[in-house]
Amino acid sequence: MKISKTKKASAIVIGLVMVVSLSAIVFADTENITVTWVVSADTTITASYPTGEGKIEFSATTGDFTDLAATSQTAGDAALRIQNDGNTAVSLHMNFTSDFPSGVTLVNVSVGDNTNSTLYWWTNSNETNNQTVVASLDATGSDTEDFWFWSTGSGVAETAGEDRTLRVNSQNV
Amino acid sequence: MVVIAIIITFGVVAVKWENNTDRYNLDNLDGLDVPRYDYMSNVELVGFNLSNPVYNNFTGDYRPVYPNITQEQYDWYFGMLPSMPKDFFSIAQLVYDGLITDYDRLSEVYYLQPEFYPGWWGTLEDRFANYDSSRWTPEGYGCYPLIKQITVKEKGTKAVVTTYFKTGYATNSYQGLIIRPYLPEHARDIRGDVIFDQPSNADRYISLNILNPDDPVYESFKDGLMYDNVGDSDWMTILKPTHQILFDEYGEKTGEVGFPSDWVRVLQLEITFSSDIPSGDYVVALKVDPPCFEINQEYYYSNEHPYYGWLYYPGGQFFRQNTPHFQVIVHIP
Repeated sequence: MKISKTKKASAIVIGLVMVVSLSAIVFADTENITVTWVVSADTTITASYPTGEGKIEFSATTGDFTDLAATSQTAGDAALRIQNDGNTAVSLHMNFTSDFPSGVTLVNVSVGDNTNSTLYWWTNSNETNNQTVVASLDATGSDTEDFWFWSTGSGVAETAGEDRTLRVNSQNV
Repeated sequence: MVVIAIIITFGVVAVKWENNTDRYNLDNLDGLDVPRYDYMSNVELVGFNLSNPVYNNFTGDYRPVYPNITQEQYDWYFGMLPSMPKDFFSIAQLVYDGLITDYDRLSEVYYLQPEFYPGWWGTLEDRFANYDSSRWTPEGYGCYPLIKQITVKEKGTKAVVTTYFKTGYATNSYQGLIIRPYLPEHARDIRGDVIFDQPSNADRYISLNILNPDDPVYESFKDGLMYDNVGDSDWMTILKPTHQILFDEYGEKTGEVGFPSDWVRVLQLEITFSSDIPSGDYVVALKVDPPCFEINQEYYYSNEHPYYGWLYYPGGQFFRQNTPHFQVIVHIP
């Protein structure tokens, strides 16, 4: 929170005025502490998927696939949308927390549109590299960023599904 | 008098937006009512887009008159929330300014309103009225404020520090979350940069506990679990959806449901200080983890208690912040 001397003085006046109508205004959470400063930031982030999906999923019919799009992803409907519900702009960074399943060689993500104009990727040798995928997502209540995902693999064994965690880190900027 | 206060408030906001001089005064770090560190690191906060209170004929209170929102939509989105009082904007500003900090004493008629949170403005039309029916939004949560700095008056005592823990806007799922208090290695500014190191052996002098009761459904099945990752000091909670579309048996939309009456919780973090804690600065924080497989299975499938089926979502899986969700900077004089 940023507060100027002028602002602070005015705010104290407000506080004194409001005591008349709101007796609950005090300056501590409990009696044995004093709250001396508050940073009034809200860093809430929400994530959405195409309806019917709860994760980013690649469903291949064979063990060999190239640029397989995430399930339910279309040109107009991204596999992942991140929305900034807070009051500070954030940058977004992504990495996988562990190696890909055997045979998966590539995951790439197009940011903002599905034309690969802004493309990032992870190979099976750098899955855990943390990459900045959005430099600044503003905080105006409606700012969103869309992410389209594809994957490539060769000789991937048939399974009921293996989960990997794509970690999304946000940083206030 | 109230009207005067509101006018002053808006004058203050105007000053804040028209010039950029409202930076921290770091000249007197040892006194009260100043930040002990540069928490902001030049990061700008979006303030309120407040307006003078105007009676809203749709809602019968002082909720803002939003463009293009119908009576029906007001009822859907805000119908489960308390009426918005006339002094709402003054109080919201005082909280934002850090002049009201004991949130457990503040009436829910303030903190349950989405307008209480500065990130709300601009959201209603885009995320509710013009919701994207092709999307499913299962995950979203956060605290407000992000950081509190406290001074402990007496060693060997307990303190309860509060923050508002809220669901993201227009989320559609029942999110299962474990909120854990912990003693991080470093205190961080709003960018996540280290501002000081946690003193060694802090865990000898500080113990933590979240006072909020665990979700009652979890309480009903936890004794039967083979494995459980909710600790004694943690809080297992379910965040309800803040937006749902209702359909009839033929798949036709029949209405919408907005904010439930408990979409914001006053999170109460109890901090116990030993009588021999050395003077200095410490840091306490909260982090969020997903419930374990066994807990998730109960919420998905069990017939033994209320459950949420496919609307249940284990939150806390993939988001991380450079700064903890909530951080308390503790000064021991």
